[in-house]
Amino acid sequence: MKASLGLRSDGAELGRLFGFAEEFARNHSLAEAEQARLLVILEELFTNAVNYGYPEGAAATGRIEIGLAVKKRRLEIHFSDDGRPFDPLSHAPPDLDRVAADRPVGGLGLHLLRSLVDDARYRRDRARNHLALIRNLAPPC
Amino acid sequence: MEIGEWRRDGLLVLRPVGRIDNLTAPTFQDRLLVAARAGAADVIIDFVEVAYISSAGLRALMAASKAKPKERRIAVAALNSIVEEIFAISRFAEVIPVFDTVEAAIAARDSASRAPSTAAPLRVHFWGSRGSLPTPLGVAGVRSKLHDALLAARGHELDTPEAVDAFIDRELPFSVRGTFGGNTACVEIATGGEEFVVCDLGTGVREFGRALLAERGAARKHCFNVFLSHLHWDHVMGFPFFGPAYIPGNLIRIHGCHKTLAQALRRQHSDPGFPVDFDSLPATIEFVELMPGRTYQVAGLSVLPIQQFHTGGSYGYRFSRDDKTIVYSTDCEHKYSVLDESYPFVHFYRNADLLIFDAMYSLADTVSVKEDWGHSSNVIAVELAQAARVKRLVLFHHEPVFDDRMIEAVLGETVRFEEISREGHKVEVIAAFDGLDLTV
Repeated sequence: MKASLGLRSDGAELGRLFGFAEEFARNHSLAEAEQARLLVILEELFTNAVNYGYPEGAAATGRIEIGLAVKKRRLEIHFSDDGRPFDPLSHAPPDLDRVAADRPVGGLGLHLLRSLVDDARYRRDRARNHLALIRNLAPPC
Repeated sequence: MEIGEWRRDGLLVLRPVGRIDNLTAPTFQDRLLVAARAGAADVIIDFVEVAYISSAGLRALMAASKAKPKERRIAVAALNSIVEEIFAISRFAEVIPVFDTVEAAIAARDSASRAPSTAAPLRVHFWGSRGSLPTPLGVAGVRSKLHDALLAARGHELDTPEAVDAFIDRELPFSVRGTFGGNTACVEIATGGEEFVVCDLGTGVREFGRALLAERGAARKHCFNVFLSHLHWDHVMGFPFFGPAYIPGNLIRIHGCHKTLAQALRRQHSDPGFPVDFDSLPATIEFVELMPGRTYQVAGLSVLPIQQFHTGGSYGYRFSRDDKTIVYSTDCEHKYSVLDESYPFVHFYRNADLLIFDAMYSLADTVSVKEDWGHSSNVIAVELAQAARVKRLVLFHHEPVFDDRMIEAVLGETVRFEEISREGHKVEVIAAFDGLDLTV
């Protein structure tokens, strides 16, 4: 049972994205923690695409598409956007070894994203970025 | 987003409600920055009603921690499991201290504000430096020192006591004029404050107790904060002989990360192993279970435990005050193959002024016969200390089979290895001995 959603490249769409993800989590009886993780993953993907994928100041006309499915305790997330080519998986991880005072203020979003998924693949196809992510759901306790 | 708040003298507690995400983070960040920049209060953020945080929320916390005046504190409390997970992934506990409850955060703040003036240096005293088993100096050991000293004295003018003293101090190596000692692990960190901080309760703690009673008498009451690396014999066996435990009014708080903390100490302090039952000890003894990765405030120090590699588990502790850091990391088997920048201990040791490190074996031992025995070598010690830009490395937990000459030889080798492997940053290498006193 797949669910999909289309969004404009506008930060204000985040609320709709949450609503969609929560409904999906309910329909698939995801544990509360798994729902929260899904929300973090989607939020980081979405804000990253909106903030960096499109020319600054341009009208929010970009199209972002999200597909979710659960198969055999595996959560599959498909995320695509028509922003500039960007592979978040190739982005250098933040240097968490720096002493706290020297750590930069940002840069953690992609790190969170990569830490929360078990498999991630990127491809650029027909002027769109596609990310296929898999998270093995924790066994319900 | 709704952010509740309440104040008490010099303290502001903020209580955001709901999700801290990209939509709500700007409000959250604005409120935090106003509080941080004003600098009028320490800030505790109560997460009890926060369902979730994304990187936008972390960014707000980071910005506030950078914006606050140096002398002000900022802390978070009552994280739910998902927020805790996000903190763990991004190692955020190292940016902002995390507490189980707001009350715990307030208690830590109050205890820190009663703490000694931070102008006083931290002093580290080694009461016991030996690994595994107490190792007294025997007849043969004394005789060999006399032999070496007399050989070295030949041809020197030693006709006055002053000349003899000068000869001993200047001409004889430490292994001849002294001894690394034989008491098992016990290291005191003197903060300059009223409370004592002690790492491990090996047989060295008996000497500590005796020295303290001799200096201050039994009438004065004290509070001792003990941090246990683990519960193996050599790290707890001194406690039944710790004099201050037999004086009513003394408070001994034993901190550690093992669930069996109390059980292990009670067991060695009971029939038939020891005549005095634990429950009859006149001092008040409390056990405080810590969680690795969380920062605690004790006796004016920030204390961060980390889990190490050792049979049955062991824990290292990073103690900091202002810009001074002492790391106590014994009984950990660092595997050579995993030593690189991603290795968590490189971070844990980062920029330490003093790293007290278990370097019990030679590298040859570590990679062959004694693999998986739970200890590390001097070579790994140096490589880790260099990678982490440690200032001073203290070799600790000496192998009981080694005599003084052998430990001195290991120290010499280690110093040379540090010189030839150095890339810019110099690490000073020291071998711990019973009685060694260092100022940080």
